[in-house]
Amino acid sequence: MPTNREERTMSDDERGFTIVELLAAIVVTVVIVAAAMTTLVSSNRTSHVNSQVADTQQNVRIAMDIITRDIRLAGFNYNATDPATPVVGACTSGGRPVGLLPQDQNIAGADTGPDGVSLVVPVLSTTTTPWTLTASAGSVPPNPATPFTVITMAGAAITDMTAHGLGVGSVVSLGGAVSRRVSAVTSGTMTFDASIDGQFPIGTPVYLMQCVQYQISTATATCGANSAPCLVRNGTPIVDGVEDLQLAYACDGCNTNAPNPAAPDGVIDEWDVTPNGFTAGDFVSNNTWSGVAPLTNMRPNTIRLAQISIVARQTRIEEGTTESGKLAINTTGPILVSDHDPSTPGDPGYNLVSYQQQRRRVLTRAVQPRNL
Amino acid sequence: MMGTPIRQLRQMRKCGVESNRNGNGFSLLEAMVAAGVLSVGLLGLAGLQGMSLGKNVDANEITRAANLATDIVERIQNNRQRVMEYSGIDTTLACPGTFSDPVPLGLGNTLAVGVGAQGDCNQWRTVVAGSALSDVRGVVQVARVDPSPTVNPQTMHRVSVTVNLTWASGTRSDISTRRQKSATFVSVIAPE
Repeated sequence: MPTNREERTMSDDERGFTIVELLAAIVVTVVIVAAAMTTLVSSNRTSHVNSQVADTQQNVRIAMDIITRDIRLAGFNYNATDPATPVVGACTSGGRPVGLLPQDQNIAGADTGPDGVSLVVPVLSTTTTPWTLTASAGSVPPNPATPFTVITMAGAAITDMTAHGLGVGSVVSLGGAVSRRVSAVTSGTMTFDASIDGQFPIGTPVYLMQCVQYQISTATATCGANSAPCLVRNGTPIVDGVEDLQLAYACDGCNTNAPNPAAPDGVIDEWDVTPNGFTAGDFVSNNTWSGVAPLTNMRPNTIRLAQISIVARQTRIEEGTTESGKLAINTTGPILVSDHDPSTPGDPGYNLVSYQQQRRRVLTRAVQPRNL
Repeated sequence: MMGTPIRQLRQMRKCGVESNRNGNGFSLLEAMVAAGVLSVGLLGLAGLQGMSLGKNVDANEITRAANLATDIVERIQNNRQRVMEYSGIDTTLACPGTFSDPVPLGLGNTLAVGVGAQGDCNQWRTVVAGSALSDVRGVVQVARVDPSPTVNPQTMHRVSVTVNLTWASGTRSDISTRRQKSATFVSVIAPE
């Protein structure tokens, strides 16, 4: 091939790039790549922020939905004025069975951590065999009711209930109307330790009662990595990133001091120093609810409204939305819910810097327990 | 083109340069246009993230609104004997000083009539005002579905409760992104 110098210099279009052209091309390329990278990095970070925010909002909503559903159901009528009603698990206060057991973090005053609550709810069947009576109990109308201690159920239902924790000492509820402690279980029957006076037809649902406890855990061992703190139901982590749970209760018939009447009157009892009708101050946070004198009626079955506050936060600290990685700082101050100020000295785990870098979502709702 | 004599190749290139610029790589202008097109695409992607953040804000507001509505409906459910007293609650107005009491309980109530509804109204106003929704307004309307028990003792006594919340979404200072949002929640309550 002809490669002599004369020929090459004669044509301009064969000379390749000059250093100036190369530099210009590099500059243009750098500008384009820098712009693209900026967009890419900030887009990536925004997407992290987005998913954290969405998770936080989802978590606070789910936590509120789950806990309100259980509080509405709490008690399941199992304590309905029957002296033979047994205690379910740890759901007991002042020597009596209770359907809902408030567990304030600090009964003496302002809290320095999240509250808990225990409540009685049924275990639900997870198989296709219904947990129902296969023979009527207590005779059939129009015959008079005869007290009974044994109920008949399908063997598969008993097996299923046993798998869910049924055993001697368990508490079951017949149709949500009456509860008894189980003293013996066979493949098709269940015997109670006290007789039931009533009539229950074939198909009456039989509920296995359990005492569940809601708490907040900050332990990574409980919640899992990058999930702490979390909401724990009976030891099982159910919602990630739930930082605070505060409960306060409004009751009727609990406080018999003036101006409240001696009996429940359909109006929430007054707790304010100066009587001013039903106000936010009538939601009680600091009490054992065990009927300690002089407020001997101060028991969970007088609770009419439960005020639930849930604070959820993002479980990871993100890198902001800008390319420089500057974090958003929220300086509006710590979130006060009920009687808990997280910045109080003595509150474990409070760190101003990380607190201001985390997004939080708060929901507060009053709920009426239907079955106490 | 490996076997093409170099003169012929050169000739071809020259022709190419004169007729069109295909064989000469990209000019600065072309690169700029390409960068422009690319940046429009990337900006579109970045805009998606911003839109997603905006939708998160919307979702948060709707959750708050639903939570507020649930709060007052639960309070009414608790005081359901006096559900009619809750009609007309408007958080932009002060709560009535005294509530009418169309369904008296007759349990020897020593406190003022309507104290429950008034307390719920006052507390709900506070909760709504503190909900971080801007320009929020909550209105409760109550209407009988069935006749009053004083008219017909056999009635099912169902009462429809409608909670309407309106708020302004978007940045307070920026009028262009500000829009009015509204959510209505309907529930039926049946006092025993």
